Amino acid sequence: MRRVLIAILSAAVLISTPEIAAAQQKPTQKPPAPATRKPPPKTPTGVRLYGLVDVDFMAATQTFDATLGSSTLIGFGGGADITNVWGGLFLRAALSHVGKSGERVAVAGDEIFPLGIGLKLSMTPIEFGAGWRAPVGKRKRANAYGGGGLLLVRYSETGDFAAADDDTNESFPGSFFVGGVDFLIGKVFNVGFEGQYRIVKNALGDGGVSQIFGEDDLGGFTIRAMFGIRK
Amino acid sequence: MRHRPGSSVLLVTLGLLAAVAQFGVRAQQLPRLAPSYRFDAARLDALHDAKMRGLNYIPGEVVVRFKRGMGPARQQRALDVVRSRPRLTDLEWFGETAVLRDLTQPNSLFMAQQLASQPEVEYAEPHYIRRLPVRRRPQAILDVGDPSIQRTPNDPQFGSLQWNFSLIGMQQAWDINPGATQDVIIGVVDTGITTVNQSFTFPLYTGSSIQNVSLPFAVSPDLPVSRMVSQRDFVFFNSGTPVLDMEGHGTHVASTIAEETNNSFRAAGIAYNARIMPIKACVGYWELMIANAQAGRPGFNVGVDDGFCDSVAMAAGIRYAANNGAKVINVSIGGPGLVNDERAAITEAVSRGAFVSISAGNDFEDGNPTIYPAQFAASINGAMSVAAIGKSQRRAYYSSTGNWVEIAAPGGDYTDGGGQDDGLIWQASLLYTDQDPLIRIPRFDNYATIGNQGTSMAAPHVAGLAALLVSQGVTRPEAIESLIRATAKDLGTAGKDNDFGYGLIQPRAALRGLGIRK
Repeated sequence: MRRVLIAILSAAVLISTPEIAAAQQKPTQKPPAPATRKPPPKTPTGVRLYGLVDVDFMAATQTFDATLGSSTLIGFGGGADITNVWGGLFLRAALSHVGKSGERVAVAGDEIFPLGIGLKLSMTPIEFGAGWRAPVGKRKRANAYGGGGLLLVRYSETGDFAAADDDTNESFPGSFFVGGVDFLIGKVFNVGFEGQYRIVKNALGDGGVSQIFGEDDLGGFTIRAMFGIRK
Repeated sequence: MRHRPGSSVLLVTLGLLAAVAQFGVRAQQLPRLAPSYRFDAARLDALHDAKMRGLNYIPGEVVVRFKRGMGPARQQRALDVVRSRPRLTDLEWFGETAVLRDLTQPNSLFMAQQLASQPEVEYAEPHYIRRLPVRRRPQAILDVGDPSIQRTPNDPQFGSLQWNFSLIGMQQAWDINPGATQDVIIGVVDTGITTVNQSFTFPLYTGSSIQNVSLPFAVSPDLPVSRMVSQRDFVFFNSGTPVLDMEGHGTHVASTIAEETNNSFRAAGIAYNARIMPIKACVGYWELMIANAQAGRPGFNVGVDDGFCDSVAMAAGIRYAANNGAKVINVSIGGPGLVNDERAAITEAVSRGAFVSISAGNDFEDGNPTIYPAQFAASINGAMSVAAIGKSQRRAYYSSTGNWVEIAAPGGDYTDGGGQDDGLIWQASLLYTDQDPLIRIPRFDNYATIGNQGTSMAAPHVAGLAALLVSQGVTRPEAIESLIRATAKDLGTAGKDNDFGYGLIQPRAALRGLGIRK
């Protein structure tokens, strides 16, 4: 009786599984079973909002050293990255602002003569870019990223005793390349650090000290710290 | 023994005694001062000869500079090559430069070549003289103009006559730097600027005989003594002081640089707070008339003894200015004939921190020869040669051209003024009619606003600007030149050209300096 029951169940399984039945009927070639993967869980599009502090190392070192006393400028601003647009792709829009005062100068060879005439620089780089982010580490609380984009630098230079067309208020296009890493702290807080290489050619060099020094690039290298939220 | 300025007391005394003995009159006022050494009869003859033969050097004289380290024996050995075998004690010394006079050898060029070939000699050259820059169509005015025209400054003739300052935007420049500061000293190597209010008794031919005549001198009200420093006469008074201007050229030049401004009187000057160092290296008609009279030579010499600038005195004056604190030196003098001593003096002055502004020359219509010392400026960073433009920013018709021209400034041009001499450069100076060569006895105590034209008038614009820059903190001559060049308004052919150099000075732009982009 027990043997009968086992035979019936076996037959039933065989009948309900035609491939197996067929295989049993044609046992000569058995193809390897295809590799199967679980599709990755779809990551929802997110956003990263941050305030930022820039340390700009200007490419036109002599120009800024001469007039502002330093070619290292500090900027403040903010931005937003839309993350996971398509896989690790992110899009960025950010701006920062640099303001610094100095003096107009006379230049003779290597010698600089400050003239005691005030000069104010205001610079606002606006970034539009894209890049790719990838999680780093087992816990996936850090992301490394790289990318690039376009810059539009709003540039204003004013000085004492200026006549109508003496001051400058113009915008200059450029580009940037970026690489960095950010960390999730808690559930939403986010800290990031990145480096940017900016190129803003032909913004300088037509006049002023920059012409004397033959420096035409308003870009340079920027180190940026970002503090914000990631969702 | 070298004859140096320090030993001049003895010579002054001797000169005085000679004058008194010669004319047999009692000196009436300040007899302790007398013009002498350079105008003895032999030299006056030589100057007269030079004028008649059209030479730009004094026949029979050479300027010699020995190489460093040459002792008296070596120097004497070099002199032995000259036919008259002069002794070292016969030389007239001006610092390290000496003048050798050999009346037996009137061919100065030959004598200079002889000496220059000696191994002990650094250079030897004829004793060049520069003619006083031509002053064309001068005109004096006595009215004070219309004060209502003025805005700033308040000097009544600023608005009505001084188009030159408006042309280069001085009002805006003064907003940035109002007239420099008194610690800035500007040496004016020229015919002098009178530094005393008193009369001097000089021998003078008065039409019938040589008489001792009292000639009154006065300080220009627009160049008060309080703004004079370290005056020095290298050609007239052996004592070196006081300095007297008997021509008016030096006073006019100094007034452009630094005439009192905002004093509601006459006209304005550029660096009106700076101080002036009057250095006399030139003599005019009346100094030569006095010298002729002192040498017992009667007669009027209008058109002959019309004055000159001594190249040795110029070089000595430039050195003196730089050694005594001048940060800017104006040399509105020039002529053909390369003088190494002038080049050396300018180079030394620049190396001592003095910017030198030099007139480019008024000889365009006279064959446009190369003008010295302006030509040197092109190769000396810190010295600039200055061309003249008129009211409409065209090159003035007389302004010399050449590759030595570095910059342009208003110099006046009577053909470019809209009539009535409006196109001249107007500044306070000696009243021209008081010392015109055609009058019998001159006086030098009246001042008026005088219109002149010439690169002599252009150079002081650059000197004044340089003084403003010095007070602004641009203290190196090279930097001053660089800034003036960089901020000039290009005229004529694009870029540097032979008419305007780098272009018309722009004081406001130069004083404002450079920003990052502009």
